[in-house]
Amino acid sequence: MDEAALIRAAQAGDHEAFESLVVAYDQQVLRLAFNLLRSSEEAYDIYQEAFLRVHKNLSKFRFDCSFHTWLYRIVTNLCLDALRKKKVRKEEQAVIETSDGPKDRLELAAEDRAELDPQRKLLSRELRERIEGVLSGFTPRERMVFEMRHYEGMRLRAIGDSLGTTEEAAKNCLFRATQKMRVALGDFV
Amino acid sequence: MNCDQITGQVELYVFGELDFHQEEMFEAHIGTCEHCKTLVEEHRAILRLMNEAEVEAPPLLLNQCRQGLKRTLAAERMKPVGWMDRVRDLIPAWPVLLKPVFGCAMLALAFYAGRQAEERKSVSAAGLPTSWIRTIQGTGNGMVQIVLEEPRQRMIEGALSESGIEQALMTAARQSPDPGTRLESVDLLRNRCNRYDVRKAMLQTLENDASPTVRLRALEALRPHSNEVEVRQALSRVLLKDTSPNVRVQAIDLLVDRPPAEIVGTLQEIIRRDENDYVRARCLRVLSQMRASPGVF
Repeated sequence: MDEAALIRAAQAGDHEAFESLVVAYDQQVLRLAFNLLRSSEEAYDIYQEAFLRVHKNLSKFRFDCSFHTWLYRIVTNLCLDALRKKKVRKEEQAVIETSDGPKDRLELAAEDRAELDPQRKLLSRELRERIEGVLSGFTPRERMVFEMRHYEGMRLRAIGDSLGTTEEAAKNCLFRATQKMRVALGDFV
Repeated sequence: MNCDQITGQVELYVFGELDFHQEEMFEAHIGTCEHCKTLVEEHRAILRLMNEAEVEAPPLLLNQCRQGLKRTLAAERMKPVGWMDRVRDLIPAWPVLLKPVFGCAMLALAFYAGRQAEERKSVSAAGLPTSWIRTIQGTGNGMVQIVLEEPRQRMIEGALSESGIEQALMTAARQSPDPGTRLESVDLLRNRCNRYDVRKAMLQTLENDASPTVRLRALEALRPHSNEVEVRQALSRVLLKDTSPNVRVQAIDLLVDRPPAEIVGTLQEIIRRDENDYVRARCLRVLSQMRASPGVF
């Protein structure tokens, strides 16, 4: 069954068709959410909320854009909200009290992430901190555009559509993100 | 195109966002201008560094998310529909009133279904998305008979040593779309690598699996067999082509447990072309322990 037929079946209440739609896209959704938020719990929440919204609103989907774009509009809005909340929390709390005394949040985050992915252990500490710094320095929109272009491989036009903005605005976000990376990582290249 | 225009478009170029004509002009310029070529290289190097910031979700997370969604949707479906609630509020005794009507309807339905089932299955079965149409035949009276083949879920249970279970695990390790299931299968099979077919499945996972975590686990499972020719050949290929530096480093460690002479060439090749500093440093250390030269003369 092709995608349009699956969507129509799911709109008519076919649970298996809805499940097939979820399975077709959920790895991409989870990958995007996890890479952006770096937390299993938050990525889990985004996944659940995104697909519940899809389930609830699928009857309103009128095929005036691709299902991928429609789904990504939902997912990127949720991720942007989560990133904004995260950023506010970070700014409020740059230093965290731990059992070993006060520690810099960025340092803790870097340690957490190193445990999540052993590959990161291989990076020199300085470079890792610099990269974490770059990611923290992005605005939520810059982070989202960079993520979708660099890691997801989406075209700027599709990114603009998903974020409900223009290709030009997505391009500007990418320019700003690249400038920030050059400033922070220029002496490593 | 001049240097100022190149500076303004370099981001779009490295991200592949220029159109064909612009890209042609861009490449013609950087082919002749060292300064702009360096600028492009610098941007590419920064993006390579940013690749290191990509993290992989824990393999079991996808499965947990799917199960969670299934539970929530099932709970949603169990919830009564809004308008029915309202009707129920208006006529509290309506289930009692409807009982005889419902009973008659069920009786009529059963009678009708019994008659229809004699010759053919319900037409609605053909709409199931899991159905596969096996044969179609006209019955001559304007009707069509369709034989469907439907995959069904079933559970098999048994010891790891049973061939059916082992086969299922090997298939899951190679073919399951869920990395959590593949990881679980590799874990369960890891102590059975002394069997040739299990070892072969593990080698295929090591070389072809999309998830570095699953590849690493397969590599771990193959550790006790790292002196076998087939395993060593696979490790050499992994060392040259695996995209994860962590997998490449682990492959080096396995290969140099008992370093044979032929590994020298592979390590020299890695030093020459691997982009990751740590991987190259690890190779250099191994070569120096083997008193071999890091370069090819």
